[in-house]
Amino acid sequence: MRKTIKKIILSLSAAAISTSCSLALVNNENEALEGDHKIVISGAVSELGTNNPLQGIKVTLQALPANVLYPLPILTLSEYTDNNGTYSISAGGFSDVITCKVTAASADPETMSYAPASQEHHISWSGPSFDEEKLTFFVNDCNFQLAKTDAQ
Amino acid sequence: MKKRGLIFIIPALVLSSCAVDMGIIEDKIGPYVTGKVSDTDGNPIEHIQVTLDWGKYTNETVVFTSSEGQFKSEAVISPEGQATLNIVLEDIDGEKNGGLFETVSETIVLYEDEGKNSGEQIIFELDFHLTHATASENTPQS
Repeated sequence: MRKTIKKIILSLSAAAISTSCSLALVNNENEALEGDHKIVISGAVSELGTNNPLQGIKVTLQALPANVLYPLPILTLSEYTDNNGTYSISAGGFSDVITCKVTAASADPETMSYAPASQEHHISWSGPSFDEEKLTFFVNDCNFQLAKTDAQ
Repeated sequence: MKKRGLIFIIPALVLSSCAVDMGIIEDKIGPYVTGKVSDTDGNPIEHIQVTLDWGKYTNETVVFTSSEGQFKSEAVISPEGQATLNIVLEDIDGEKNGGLFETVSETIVLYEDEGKNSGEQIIFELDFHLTHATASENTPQS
């Protein structure tokens, strides 16, 4: 009986611990960012092989907290490449060190299908790419070359 | 010898893996035209194709609204300090991103001295509210 009670207590404790841990990983993407640091990521998207600029490619920025084992995005923004195949994404409200994942993908795979591609950039708010006056970190030439695939 | 080789190789690998430019490139001076596209309830509309025609001064520019329903493009102002912009907003993805919206075409005259000064940039801010359209009224052209 005592062993059974101990097992129940241990099981309940484990469940409580796992629940509290999962709560710590809840997506806080909708929470307003209150920092004063900003990032600007820009680049061009072209077709692999031909180097033709690709218009209308969806480029998505996900800002993730750094130094977290299983980070969830704190911000997600999407822009589309213009008729020159270029894009620029600006995002602000940051304060801590973050990692930015940038993904380029077809906006409409049914009509224009390209294999998606991603890059990650560690944003440390320091170094030659950081404008201390504007509190802005610039990531330039975040370029992609996408391989064409069969339309879905 | 091997250790010396590693000393040079490892930093090279780190530098080559960084996509960050080693120099700060300032934002372009502009001027710019920025816009916000939303539906009649104020919800931003993503992936609206925005065609900007500045007339004889330059070729057409095509941009798309972001996930926040915003777009931005360099403005082309004449030496006289004004520009006539023919702008077309077109929903090219059909029912995706909030439904099918009507095509809007407008001619806007911009005066440089009426632009908003934002630091070193002159910005013209536009605001569009699109209404839903039926398929027969607004067949995507592209």
